[in-house]
Amino acid sequence: MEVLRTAGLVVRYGNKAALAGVDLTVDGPGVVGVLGPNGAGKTTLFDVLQGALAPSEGEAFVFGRPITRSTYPRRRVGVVLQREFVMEGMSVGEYAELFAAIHGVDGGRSRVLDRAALTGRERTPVERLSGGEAQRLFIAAATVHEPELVFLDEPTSQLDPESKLAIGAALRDLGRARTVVMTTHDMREAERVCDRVVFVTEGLVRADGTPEDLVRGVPGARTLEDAFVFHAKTRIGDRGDAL
Amino acid sequence: MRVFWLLVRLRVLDSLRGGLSGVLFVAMPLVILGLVALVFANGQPFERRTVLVVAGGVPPDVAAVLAAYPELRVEAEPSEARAMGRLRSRAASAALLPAPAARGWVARVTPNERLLGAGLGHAFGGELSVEVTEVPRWGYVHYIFPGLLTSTALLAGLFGMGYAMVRYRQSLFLKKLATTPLSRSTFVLAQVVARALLVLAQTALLVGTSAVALDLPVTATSAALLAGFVVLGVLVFTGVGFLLACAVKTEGVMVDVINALGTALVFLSEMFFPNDTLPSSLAAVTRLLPSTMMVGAIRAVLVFGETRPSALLQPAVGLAAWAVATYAASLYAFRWDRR
Repeated sequence: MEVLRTAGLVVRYGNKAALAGVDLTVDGPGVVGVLGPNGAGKTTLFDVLQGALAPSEGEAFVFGRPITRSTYPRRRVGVVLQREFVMEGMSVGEYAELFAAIHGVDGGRSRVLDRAALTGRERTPVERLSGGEAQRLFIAAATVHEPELVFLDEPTSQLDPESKLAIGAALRDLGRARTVVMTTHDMREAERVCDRVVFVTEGLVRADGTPEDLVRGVPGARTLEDAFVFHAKTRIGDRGDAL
Repeated sequence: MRVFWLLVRLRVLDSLRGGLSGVLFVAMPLVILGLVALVFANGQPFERRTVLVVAGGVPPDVAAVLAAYPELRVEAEPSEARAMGRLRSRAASAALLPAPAARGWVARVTPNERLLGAGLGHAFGGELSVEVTEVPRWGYVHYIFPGLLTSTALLAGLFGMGYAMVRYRQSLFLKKLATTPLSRSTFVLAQVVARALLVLAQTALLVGTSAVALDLPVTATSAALLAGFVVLGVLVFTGVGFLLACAVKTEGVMVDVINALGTALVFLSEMFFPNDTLPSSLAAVTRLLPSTMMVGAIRAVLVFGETRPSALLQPAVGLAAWAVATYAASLYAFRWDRR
C-alpha cells in the first residue's frame, strides 16, 4: 500500500535548495531509514511529509492524498522529534495522559505506560528517566492512537549502546504492522533495524533499497557505510556531520 | 588570572552581543531616566493638592475662588460616596460639598490637611465650614493596591503567554503539537485560562489578606466586578505577550523586552501615583493604555466604591477592544515553528 510519495520535491530557503528534486515512494508496512549527514535535507523532507512545510516545487502525497497543512491526516500519523519537550516537573503519568487526551484515546494513559514499561512509575518526573526510558515513553505516547505511519527523527542519537539496541528492537516491532520512517546517522543501526534505506545528501536521494541490496550493489563494499560513501561521496562522523 | 579575565570578557560579550538584548541593556536605563523625567517634570505627583467639588460640576463662583490657587487641582466629582472614597485613600485632600441647611460650603479634609482646610475657609471668606474626616491608616495602600493587582496581571500575561510561547517554539513543543490533532485555538485558550486561574487565585489571596489586615473595603459586588476586570486584564496582557512572541525569537530577548515594557507601563499607567504631571499630549496617550484602563477601573470599584455600569462600561469596552486587537494580530502573525 502506498503510504508516502513525492515527485520532484524542491524546497528552497532563499537561494539555497534544501531539497533539490526528491522522488520517493514509501509503501507500508516496514521500517524505512533516511540516512544522510547534517544539512542533507532530512529534516526538511520530514517537515514536508508531516505537513509542516509547503514545498517550493513538486508534489507530496500521504495515503494517496496531496499533503496540505489543513487537511493533513494527523489521526493516522505519529511523530517523535529528535528532542522532545517536557514541561518542568511533568510526571510520566501526566505526559502519558496528555498525549492520550490529545489523540482522544480512552484508556490511553495506561496503554502508554504499559507499552513504555513504565507502569508503577507514573509519579516519576520525566526528566529523571534514563535516556532509553524517556525515549520509550515518547514513542509510546506518539503511537497511542495506533497510527498507520510513524516518523522518528534520530530516535537513538542520545542513547547508550544497550538502550539503542532495545529501542531498535521496539522500532522493528512497530514496523511489523505500520510504516515507520526514521532518520539516523548510525549505519549499523540502520542495517539492524531498517527494511529499506534511503541515502540523502545535498537535497537529493542518492540511493534507495534494502540494506543488503545497497551493500551488494557496490563493488568491494562490506558495510552499509561503504555503500553510503560510494553513493554520497561522503562519510558521516559521530555527530552526523559530513567528513 | 588569565582565565578569570577571559570569563569576564565572555560574560560581558554574552550580555551585549545578543542584538536586541545588547541594545536594551544600553538603552533601557536611558529610557527609564527619560520616563522619570517626563512623569515628574512638573514636580512630584502629590505636590498639588486635589480638591473635589461634589455639586454636579464645579460652579463658576467656586471655580473663580479656587482659580487663584494654581497649587490646587480642582476636579468635579459626581457622588459624595466616591469623593469620600478618594479622601479615604488619600487620592484627594479635600472635598467641597454644598452646606446642607444654609448657603455656603462644607470642606471635608483629612487630618493631615487641616491647614489646607483653614486656607480654604480663608479663601471662601466665611462661607465655608471645615470638617475633619478620619481616614483609615492604610488609605494610601488602598490607593496603590489596584496598581499592584494590575502589575501582577501585566507580568503574568506577558511572561505566561509571551515568554512561554517563545520557549515552546524554541524547544519545538509547538512543532510537536502541530503534528497532532490538537487545534491551535484549543492550545492558546488553555494557556489563557490557566493564566487567568492563577492570577484570579493571586488576586483572591491579595484581596483577602488586604481586607483582613489592611482594612481594604471589599463587598460582594466589588469583588465580582474586580474579578471581571482581572479576567479582562489577563486577556489583554496575554494578548500583548502573544503579540510580542510574534516578533521576538529567543527567550533571553523576550525577558529583556518584557522587563522594558513592564517598567515603562508601571511608570505611565498610574499604578502607584497619578501621572497628571505628564505633558498633556503624553497623558492623553497613557489614558489609552490597557494598564491605565485596568488600574482606573479597579481603583474606581475597589477604592472609590463605583458600581454604576455607565461609569465602568468605558474601561470594560476599552480592555475588550485591546484583547480582540492583540489576539487578532497575533493569530495572524504568529510563527508556530522557528524557521
